[in-house]
Amino acid sequence: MEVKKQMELEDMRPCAGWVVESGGITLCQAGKGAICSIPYPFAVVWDCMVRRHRTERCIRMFAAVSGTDEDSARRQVVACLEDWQTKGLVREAGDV
Amino acid sequence: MTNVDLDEIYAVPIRDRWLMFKPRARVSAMMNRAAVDSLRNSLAGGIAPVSGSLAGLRRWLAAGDAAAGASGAEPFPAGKLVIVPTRTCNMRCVYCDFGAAGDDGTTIDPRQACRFVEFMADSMAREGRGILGVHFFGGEPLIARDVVDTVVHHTRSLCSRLKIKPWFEVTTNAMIEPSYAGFVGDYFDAAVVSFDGLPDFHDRHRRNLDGSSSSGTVERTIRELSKYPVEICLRACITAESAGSMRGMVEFLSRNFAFDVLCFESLQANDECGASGVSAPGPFDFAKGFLEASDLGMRNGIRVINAQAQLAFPRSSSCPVGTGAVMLMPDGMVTACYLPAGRWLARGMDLTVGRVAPDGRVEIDRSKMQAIREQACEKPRCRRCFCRLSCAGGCHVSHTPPGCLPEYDGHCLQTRAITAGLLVRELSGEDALKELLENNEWMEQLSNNPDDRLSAWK
Repeated sequence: MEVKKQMELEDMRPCAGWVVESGGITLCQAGKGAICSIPYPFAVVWDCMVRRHRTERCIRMFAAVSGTDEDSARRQVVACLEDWQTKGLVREAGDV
Repeated sequence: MTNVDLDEIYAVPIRDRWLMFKPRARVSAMMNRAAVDSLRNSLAGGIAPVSGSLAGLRRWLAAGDAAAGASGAEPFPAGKLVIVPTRTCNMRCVYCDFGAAGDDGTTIDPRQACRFVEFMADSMAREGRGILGVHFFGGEPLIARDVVDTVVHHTRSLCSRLKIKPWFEVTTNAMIEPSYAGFVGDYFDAAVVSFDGLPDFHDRHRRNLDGSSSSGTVERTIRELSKYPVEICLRACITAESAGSMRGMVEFLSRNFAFDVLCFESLQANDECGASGVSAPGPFDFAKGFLEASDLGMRNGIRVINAQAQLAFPRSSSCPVGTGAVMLMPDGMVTACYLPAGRWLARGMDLTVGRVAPDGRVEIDRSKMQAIREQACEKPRCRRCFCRLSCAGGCHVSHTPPGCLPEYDGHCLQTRAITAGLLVRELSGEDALKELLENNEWMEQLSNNPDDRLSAWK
């Protein structure tokens, strides 16, 4: 999956909200409470996504936070987004 | 009964009475000359011939200083890092001497900043410390968003792993987009926003690069930030012209914004001020304005503060140099002071304590850091002043550098007047403070008292 396309299309609408926790981000849903924790460094991806940051910026930040190179960061960001989509945490904006 | 160190107890003249103050034990009292005489003799002799309420006070003054926290400089690593991502600023304030005007745009690499935080966090974890404070300063730090965002996420990640609590603070001009205010609100614990009290003063002092006014954007940002659980401190720089409007500032700000703290600081004269026609307020004008404004602030549920006149706990320095904070500069140098290097070099001081190399290697000279810190905590000018453990000399570079004159300067007079006023209000109430503020002679008498120490009592 091409990262740039993914970041532009994905949306967080299935989740009602999210909160900043000490070790990352916790996703919440109305009536269910906390449904999922996203630890660092993947919390960076979530934060970049909801703030509509450019993909390259997200990858640079992910690399700095995880202490890895940008190629590895790119692969991990793609895998992370695919995982969230599989779990139903995000979906392509066009699906809503 | 043991003797008491009379250098640690102070007596300040207020009209025909004396303000007795022992900052280490946070004990204060108002009394007449005979009572001071009596207590002084009793404390010096180690016997207790005093009776009644004086006997109780004597016990408090002679008691140990178990609660005191100002016995000396904090050892390395201190709990606070300052990161100056850039000296660049998107404003041109008429009184700014933080180097923005001549800045070359250098910005620290986010990875270098992350290595610095890692180094400090690891040191702190080894020392068993529980909180890592990270303060962003500038220039305007929030224009270096890559650095700020990356460091915030990296620090949170690190702290989670090391079981340390992160605490983020930013000093900002608030010229940011509402969406970025959301990031600050989500991740920061405190934001110090420069707002010069009233839009009119603000727009005269704090201008955009093109000379246009900035108050509208700053007001929008304050409102945006107040939607989040971030402590908001509004910081107003007071000039000779605005000193008489400090009460009006409290009224305006409390009516229009939700915030937590209002910090009034007096303008410190510099070359930029002279060129732009703004000048520092008189020390007593500022002190009176501050005390009247803080009174009104209390009634409106707002904490009004002045950085040098804080009495909550004793401290050996109110300057970052003396508190042991370490600062990362845009060029990777690590210093003990956030001021541009030229300011301390001009005073013959070298406050560089290390560097973060481009490859991420961190070098810090801990013994030099400790020596600088100890020097900043021991000020000959302050030994005889009752503000020794609250103001503690103020700025190590511009106010009390090594070799400075022993006489009080205008900043000392101002801080002494404010501190005495706060204690008078605490002890005798608002009417007593009002009476003091209306009498210039009393204000000058207390502020100019050459030696407050009980050891110098005659």
